[in-house]
Amino acid sequence: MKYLAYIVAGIRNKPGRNLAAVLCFALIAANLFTGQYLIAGEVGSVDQGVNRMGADLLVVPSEYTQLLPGAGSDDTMAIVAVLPSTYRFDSDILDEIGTVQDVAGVSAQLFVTAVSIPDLSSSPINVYGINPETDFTIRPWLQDPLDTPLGTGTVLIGRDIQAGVQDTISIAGRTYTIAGVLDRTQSEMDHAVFLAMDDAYALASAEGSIPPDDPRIGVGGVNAGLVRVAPGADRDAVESRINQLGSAANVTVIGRHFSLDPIAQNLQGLPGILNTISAIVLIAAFPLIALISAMVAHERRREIGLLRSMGATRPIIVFLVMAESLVLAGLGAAAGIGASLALLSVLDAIGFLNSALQVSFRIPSVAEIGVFAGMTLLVIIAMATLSSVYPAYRSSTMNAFDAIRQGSG
Amino acid sequence: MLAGLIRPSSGTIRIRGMDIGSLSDDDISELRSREIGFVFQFSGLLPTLTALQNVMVPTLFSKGEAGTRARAMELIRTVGLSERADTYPGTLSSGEMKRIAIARALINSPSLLIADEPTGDLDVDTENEIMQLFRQLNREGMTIVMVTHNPDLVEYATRMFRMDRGRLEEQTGLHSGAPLPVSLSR
Repeated sequence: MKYLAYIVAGIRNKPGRNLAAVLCFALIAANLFTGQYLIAGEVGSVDQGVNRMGADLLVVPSEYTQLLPGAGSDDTMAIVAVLPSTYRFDSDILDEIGTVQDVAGVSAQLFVTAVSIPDLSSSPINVYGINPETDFTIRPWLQDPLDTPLGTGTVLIGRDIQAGVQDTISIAGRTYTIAGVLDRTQSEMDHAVFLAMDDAYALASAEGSIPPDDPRIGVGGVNAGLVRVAPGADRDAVESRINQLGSAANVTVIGRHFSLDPIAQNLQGLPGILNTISAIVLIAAFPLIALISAMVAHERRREIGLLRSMGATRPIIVFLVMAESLVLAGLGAAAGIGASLALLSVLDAIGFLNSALQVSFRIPSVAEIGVFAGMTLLVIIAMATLSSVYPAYRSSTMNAFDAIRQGSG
Repeated sequence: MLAGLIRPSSGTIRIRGMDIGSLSDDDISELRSREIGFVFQFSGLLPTLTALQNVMVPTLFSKGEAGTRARAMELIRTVGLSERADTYPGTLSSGEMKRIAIARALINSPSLLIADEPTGDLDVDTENEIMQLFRQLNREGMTIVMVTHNPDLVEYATRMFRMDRGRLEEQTGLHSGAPLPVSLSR
C-alpha cells in the first residue's frame, strides 16, 4: 500500500493515454463478459425450453384417446399434464415401463377433482396429484425454486390462481400451504393445483371431494404416466415397446414429436461465433496493450532512472511498472463489465435479446454473473501481466545513469 | 559512478570503507537509499505528486530509518517552502522546485550528498541559504560533492577539483581543516 500514491500519481501523469488504455481493457472485458453472458443465457433458455416441453410420451388408459381430437399422437402439443378425466389405471405398470429400454424417466399423474373457488380463480380449479420425487414436467415451470420440497400439506399452483407462496388454499375442507407458483403456460395448468400423490389420495377419499357419480379413486390409481425418452433414442421404437408391454394392462401411448431441436440447432453456432470473436479480440488487443506498456516504460525512463538513483531496486521497478498496468487493467475490466451488464439489462428489458436470439432469453443468475465477471477480470489481469512483464523488466535493467541523462520524462 | 549508477572500468570506489564495485545491483540500490542523496541539474519532481509527497518518495525504498512525514515537513521548512508543501510542482518556480529536490535528497539523512548545480536556478539570497544549509550539514558529518559553474561558491568548498578534458585535477590551496564540502568545477 505504501506505493499506492506513487502508482496513482503515475496513472494521473498521462490521463489521455491512460484513459485510452482503460478503454482498451474495457472493450476487451466487455467483449469477453458479453460473450459469456449471452452463451449462458442462450444455453439456459434452450435448456429451460426443452425441460418445459415435458414428457416425450404419455401412457394413458386406452379410452383416454377419445378425449383428443384425431386420437393418437400429436405433433405439436407439449405433454406437461394429463387432461382431466376419470380414466385411470394401476400405477404398477409404470414401474415396469420404467425398465423399458431407452426410457429415462416415468412420473405418474392423477386428476383428483375440479373445484370452484371464485375468490382465487374465475375458472374451475383442477386438482392433480403428482409424485414430487419423479416429476419432471411440472417443476420446470416453477417461477422460483422451492424453498422446501413439495410434501404433505403443501401445493403448487398455476399462474392464474390469485394467491402467492406461503398463502393457503382450502380444497374440500382441507387447507394447504402454497409452496410454489408456476409460470404462465397458456394451458389448463394455469388454473390447476398440484398436490403430492399421498395428499391427493387422502383428498380423494374425503367426503364430498369428488362428484358422487364419478368412479372412486383407489390408492395406486393414476390417470397417466409421463415418460421421458433417453436423449438420442428412437421415440417410435420406445413407444412401440411400451405399447407391447401395456396392451395387457389396457394402456396406450401418446407420442410427442415436436421438439426444440430446430431452434437449438439455429442457436448451436452462437457460442462458437462468440468465442471466436472473443479470441480474435484478445489476440488483436494483446500487441496493442503490450505497445502501450512499452510506451509507458519508454516515456518514463528518466523517472525510472531517478527512482533507481533514490534506491529503488530492480524488483521494485518491475513491481511499479506492472502495478500501474494492472491498475489500469482492473479499472478497464470493471468499466467494461459494468457497461456490458448495463447494456445487456437494457437490451433484455426492451425485449431485444428475445427477438434477436429467438428464444425466451434466460438472464443468468447472480452467481453466474459473478463467475463471468471474475473470469473476465482474471483474463484481463493475465493479459495485462503478460503484456507488461517485458517492458517492466527492460525498465528495471536499463542503465539508470543514461536514463536520467537522456530520458524525456 | 560515486553512487554506483555506473561501474568503474578500473579502480575502486569506497563508501564507508565498502567497495561498491563488489556489491550486487540490489545491494548498491539499498546503499543508495540509505547513504546517498542526489540533487540533479533538473528538479526531477513528479508532477502529479505534491511537494511533500515528492520529498517523501525516497522513503519508499529505504529499509532503514525512513524519513517521516514530520521530517519531510521539517526539511521543506528548512528550504523555506513550508507554505507550498501541498502544492504541485507545476505551480512552483524552478528555484522552488530545486529547493524541494534538495529536501528530497536529504529525507533519508544520507551520509553523502551528490549535487549537480544545486543552486543553478536560485536567486542570490536563496543560493546563500542553501549553501549555508550545506555547510551546516557538512559540519554535522555529511559529505557533499557538488558540481558547479559558479566560482562564487568556491568559498564554501574545502577541496576543489577541476575536470579538464576528461581528467580530474585537484585544485590546491583551499583546504581549511576537518571534513568540509568538496566542490567540483568543470
